Amino acid sequence: MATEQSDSGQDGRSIRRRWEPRIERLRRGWDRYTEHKIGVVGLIILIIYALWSIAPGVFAPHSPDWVAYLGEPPIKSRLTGEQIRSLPHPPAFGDPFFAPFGTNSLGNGVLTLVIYSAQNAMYIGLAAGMLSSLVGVPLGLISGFYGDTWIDEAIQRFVDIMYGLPFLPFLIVLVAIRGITTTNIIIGIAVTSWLNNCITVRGETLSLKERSYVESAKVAGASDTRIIFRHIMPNVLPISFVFLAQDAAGAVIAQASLAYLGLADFTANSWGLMLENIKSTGYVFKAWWWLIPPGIALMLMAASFYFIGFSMEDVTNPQR
Amino acid sequence: MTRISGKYLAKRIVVSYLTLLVIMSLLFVLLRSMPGSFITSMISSGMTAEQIERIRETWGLNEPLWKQYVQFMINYQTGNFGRSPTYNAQVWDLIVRRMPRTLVLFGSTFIIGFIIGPLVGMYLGWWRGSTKDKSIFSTSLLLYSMPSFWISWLFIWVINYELDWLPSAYMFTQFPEFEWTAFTVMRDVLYHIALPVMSLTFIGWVGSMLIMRPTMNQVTDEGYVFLARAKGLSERTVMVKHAARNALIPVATGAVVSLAFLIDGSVIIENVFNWPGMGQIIVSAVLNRDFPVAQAVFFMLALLIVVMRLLTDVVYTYLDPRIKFGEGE
Amino acid sequence: MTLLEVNDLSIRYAVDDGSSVHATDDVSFSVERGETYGLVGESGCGKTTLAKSLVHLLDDNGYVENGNVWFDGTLPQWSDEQGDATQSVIDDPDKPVRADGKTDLAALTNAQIRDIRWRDIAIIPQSAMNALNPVYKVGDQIVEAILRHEPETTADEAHERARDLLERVGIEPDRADDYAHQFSGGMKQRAVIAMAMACSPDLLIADEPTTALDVIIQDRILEELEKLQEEFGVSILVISHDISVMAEICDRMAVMYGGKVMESGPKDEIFGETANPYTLGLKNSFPTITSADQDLVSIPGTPPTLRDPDDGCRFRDRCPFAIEECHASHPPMYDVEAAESLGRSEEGTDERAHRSACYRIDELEQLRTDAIEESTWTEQRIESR
Repeated sequence: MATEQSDSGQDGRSIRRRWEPRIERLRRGWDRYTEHKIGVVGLIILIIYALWSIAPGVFAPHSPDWVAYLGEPPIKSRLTGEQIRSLPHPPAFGDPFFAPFGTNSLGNGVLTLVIYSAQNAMYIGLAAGMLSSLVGVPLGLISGFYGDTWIDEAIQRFVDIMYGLPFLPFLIVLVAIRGITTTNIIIGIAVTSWLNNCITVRGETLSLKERSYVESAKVAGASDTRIIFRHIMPNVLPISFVFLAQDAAGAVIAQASLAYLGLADFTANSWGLMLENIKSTGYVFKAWWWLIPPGIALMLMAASFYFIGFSMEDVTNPQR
Repeated sequence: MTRISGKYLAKRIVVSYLTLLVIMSLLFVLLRSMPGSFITSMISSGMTAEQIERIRETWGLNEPLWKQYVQFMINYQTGNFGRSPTYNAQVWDLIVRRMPRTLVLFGSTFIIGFIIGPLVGMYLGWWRGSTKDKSIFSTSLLLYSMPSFWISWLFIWVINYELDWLPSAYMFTQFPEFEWTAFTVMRDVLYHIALPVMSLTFIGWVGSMLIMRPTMNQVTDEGYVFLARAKGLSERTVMVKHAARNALIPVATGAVVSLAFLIDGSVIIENVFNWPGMGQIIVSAVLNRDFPVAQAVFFMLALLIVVMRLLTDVVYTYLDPRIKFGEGE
Repeated sequence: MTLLEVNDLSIRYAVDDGSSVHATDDVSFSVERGETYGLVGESGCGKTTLAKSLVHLLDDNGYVENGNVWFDGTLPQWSDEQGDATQSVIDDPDKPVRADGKTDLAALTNAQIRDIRWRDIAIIPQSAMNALNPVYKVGDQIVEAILRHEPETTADEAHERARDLLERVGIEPDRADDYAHQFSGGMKQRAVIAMAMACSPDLLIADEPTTALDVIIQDRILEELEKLQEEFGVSILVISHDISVMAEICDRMAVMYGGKVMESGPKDEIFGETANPYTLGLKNSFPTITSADQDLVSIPGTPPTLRDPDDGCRFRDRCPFAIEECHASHPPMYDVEAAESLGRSEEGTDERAHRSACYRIDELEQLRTDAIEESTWTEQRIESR
């Protein structure tokens, strides 16, 4: 059927015929995804964060440089001693200024900072998650496809070595080597978090390899690359999306942990940095309005990734 | 365990040893590629070039790097961890003092987490899809999403700062008014360890639950679960004795992954609670370029992981009679 | 004496959208003590569901809509020394026990049915190969069943009995200390049979006992079942899609289609004087040993989905003999013998007699002749009728 020349009209039809089942599959997958309330909740949270990242100015009451009592930049005057002593200021709604989540010790609005920090967390989560999938999935595919050969053995030994390195301290070393920037934090997280992807994808590939359709492709003379990318990878991709979501969540938390240990990118607003600031200024137990919001924001972002990941896992699970 | 052959065990130990060697070499290179060096903190502006040179000489920094590496690897084979420039003490002594403290903190969270996690996972997997499962599962994911230091702060804030029930720092009472006996020391440690362990297990149990829940759900469809029911066993017996017992097998493998999570957690927790263990010094050692201490702590943590993986294999053969390590390998 | 009497049993599976799957509809049959009764039909016809429902082992969304399962045996706490229901229990209107001492299993609670399971009714599941728990020794799993229902037995006695049971099905007693993965497929099957006999039940349900086994082992398993029946006097309810298995071991049988019994009665009559188009079709599609060069003809089409089915005969869409009447309602079970002499008459009430659900019961000779023709069973014929 593919060898016959056909005019464009037939072409269009055949493309539609080819894609229809896929669209149908996607639609059914979506229906099953929406069966999970947490998946939908996760998606909604993530969309809100995405909006915050794209246009923080629309949602935040002030700009991040806004200072209590003095207002938006350019700031000409200075805070009086009494005003400084009142910082960090608890939530205030118009009197003497408007800051619904209060201010930090410098007078910046906590809510504003929380909203402006979404971008950084989103970036770190997605970038680190994708990077670690980009490392872990191909390595797992290769390792599984060449199972029980020296290639597999080498990759598995390498994974063993990486597992022997405690994640967080190792991450500190990696970040310290290249300097504390958001990019380096992302790279560091990716380098240390691809292991689970690799192992799961390898296991999946090992079992897929034995399926009859892969066997028949082999008999038909398909090349290794073709079998890996055309026949095995499409079946592995769903599960690697699940890992992408989980890695993204892990990355957001790892960034905060690094910040707690003093390894935050001080040039970018982030929830980790906010928490590090509250620690270094000694207000942890004195300014709950400053302690709670960044933690909740962080938790919700990580949770939304987990929610999406676990709902997707159920969609991709062929057992149901 | 009789089902692990001696030959297999020997092979595993050799491989683990080699893995440790590679890890140490990797760390040697990585640590030294960090910008700066610990002597920066020892050099004051008034020092002469000769004095600086003497310091460099004392710490062996004038040797070529490969010589330092060879010396370092030889030293580790003989248990010589070197001397810490920042603590000005033998690293070995430092480790010997701090390792047990870390193990106490880490061990208790590990054990408690691995009791609660699979237990909750068992119930959720068994009742998967029920309202109870959905609400507990999403709540546990929320817990899992909390940074460990932040949840520790919340715990300290409420239980220590507001209620003053439990201490929030150190391992012992600093200026005790009681006599030091085995009993009072133990009580004192328990008193101090409660809050850190609580904070870490509060989120740490979720990891093993996440492995247990789906496997538990899978085994409910197995023929042996049906047969167990058909035999007239109570639902509880079917769930615990037949389903959960099988679902535990993958949890044993997953233990290694949870282990990594808990090690990270205890590094943070030790810092939050001023727990005088290894996690507390590894961060400052890396940041202060105290290579001997950093190396040694990394080594001990890697050793812990490697030993736990060996133990996992033993547990695995105990849990699954089908596995026979060392035959046909 | 009747051991099991299933009356108008209807089982439903609840579906998310509010509809329900009619897994079985008003199924009635009865099993005598010591006989082998067969339930035969294509997969999805409700036979396994039916068997599971007897001891409340349906999946979570399955439930009994109506009907009774009268079983000659009762709960330990309701019975006297002979195992019969005590008079006070029979008289108690709250207890589902009728005057002849039979208990309605369908009316028991989950806690109560657990005492019936295995002690009175043992079930060998469809996937008997996977029915042994991989992490326990085979012998211990048999012991578990014994100790569950006979708690007064000591562990040593139970172990001795387990070894004895294994020996009876032809497994070395010492293999009791082995795990399932050390057994071959046929051995696992026999071990499950041994386990089923652990509490000497009155009824043994064997769900597809021979599927997934090779022919030689199949034969041995069937012999094993027959041998046990002689030894223990147990009644066996065999469920299979394989009509040749039935021909080999059943005394009486029921042919099921789409959740309904189409034909039931003594085996010889069903095979010798087949009285239902579906059974005729089913016979065509299986090889028999007697006619060597027989052409196998399958019934075209697929079984119905059973989700909220309409009133017509369940088989009519695939039936080459369907007439107007078949679309209106599902036929009742006519007595075949009575129909032969008196024409189509009233519904047969004797569950043990040869009965068939077909409106054309009075034209049997014609149907039988036509059914042998291969051309009868082509799709065109069925669609054009």
